[in-house]
Amino acid sequence: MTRPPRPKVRKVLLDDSFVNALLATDVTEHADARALYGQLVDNYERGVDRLFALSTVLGDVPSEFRRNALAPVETVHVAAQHRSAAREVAAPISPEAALSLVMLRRERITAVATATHVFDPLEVEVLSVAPRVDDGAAAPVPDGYVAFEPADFRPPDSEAISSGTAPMPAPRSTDE
Amino acid sequence: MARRWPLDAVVPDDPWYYVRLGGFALFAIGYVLWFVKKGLIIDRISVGISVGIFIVIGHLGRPLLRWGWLVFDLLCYCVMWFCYEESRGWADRAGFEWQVEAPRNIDRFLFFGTDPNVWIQRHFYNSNVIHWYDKVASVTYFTHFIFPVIAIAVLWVSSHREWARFMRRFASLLLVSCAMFVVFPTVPPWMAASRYHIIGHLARHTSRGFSDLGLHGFVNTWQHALDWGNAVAAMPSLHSAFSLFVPAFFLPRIKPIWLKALVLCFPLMMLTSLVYFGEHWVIDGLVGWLLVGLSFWFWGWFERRQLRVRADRARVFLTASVSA
Repeated sequence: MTRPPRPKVRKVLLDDSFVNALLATDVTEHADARALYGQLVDNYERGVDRLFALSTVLGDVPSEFRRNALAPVETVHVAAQHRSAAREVAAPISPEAALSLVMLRRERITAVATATHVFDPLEVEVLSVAPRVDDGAAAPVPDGYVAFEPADFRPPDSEAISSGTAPMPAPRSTDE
Repeated sequence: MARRWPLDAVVPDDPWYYVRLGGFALFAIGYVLWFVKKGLIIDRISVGISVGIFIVIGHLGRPLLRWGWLVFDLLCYCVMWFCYEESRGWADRAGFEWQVEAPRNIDRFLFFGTDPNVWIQRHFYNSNVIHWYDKVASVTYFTHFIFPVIAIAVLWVSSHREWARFMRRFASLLLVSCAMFVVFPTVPPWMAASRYHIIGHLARHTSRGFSDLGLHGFVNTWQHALDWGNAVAAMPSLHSAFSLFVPAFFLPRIKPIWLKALVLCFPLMMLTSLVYFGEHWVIDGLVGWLLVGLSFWFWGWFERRQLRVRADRARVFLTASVSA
């Protein structure tokens, strides 16, 4: 009997929108965020995923949540040089999202868990809990992406956006 | 499907990345030139300086916090080697009885009454001829001074987490070994033969093959280093232990089975070389391997437990969140 090959460890960044959706019970994405986080935690325990969040995001989280809910999450420390690089990001997106992009690249993180569609046009694995887009509907890509697109750039179609490509968490019983 | 944009098309380059790459290239050239002209760097201070330069290059342009971690890591690293060096003095002061016959008796038991050191020298050693295997064994022996240091330095620069995983195991191994050096001061085979005459004559020809390769400067340095070494620190063999430790740490990253098997031949080569040179008893090497196994087992268990504990804490929150 041969052992199956060990999968490569995936590094997942939980962005500010995802952490917010996870901790704030009154946001619409909360249930999906909790379910996705449950899967990520299972993967973390199996050594398949490593979870990260920016120090700027974790700094705003109450310490009780940091110690318990976000115990598996490692801190990615943001420095002045990263903020400086974020200001030069060639996309008109929020400073927080730009900072996430910088840290994704610098720390070689390949996946991002988010509650937005900001990362959809980029070559990263997007695990999004943002509302799904029905077939044929316009993709909810931030308007700003149009401004920085090169000549042959098209906004992503519905297949390319995160909700269509990222594995969605399986529905969970509310009894658990 | 719409085209997706690579991160490097959107996020600006880190200019220091290229500075670090250039620095590493210069370091590699300088290291090789030094090796060819003056020999391998093995004494603790020179090794410390070369590793220090390498790590500083790896940290050029890094945030201040990373430099802070580096200072803390360096302190821990220095304390670890300081304890190792001091264990030689502690061994002298503690005054435990030297183990002279016990390791010989165990080796004889393992090899059905034969002394493996004496047997292997009788069949393969010729004082007038330096065979190819003398050179291979000599080079294998001296990799002990390079491989662990390279692994530590590269991990230090590339991944702090992996460095910490490596160092936990490494420091545990070193700590237990030092304790054993103090409690079980064991006479090596060459001393058992030359001073106690409890086994047949053994030649201590460790540096002969290396010297024949033209690396005289290094050999002189090594002889000087031996002058202040602990001669009765045979049990366990750190040469043997490190030769298994480094491949074992990187083994999960190696995919082809044949390459894994090849890499695991290295500890066998090391132990054979040690026995051939009369530096260690076979049991010293086996105990070294056993300690490596125990260190990996313990820290593997501890790290899995940490994952489980943290995951459970998060699950408690998830469950509570649903209940609410």
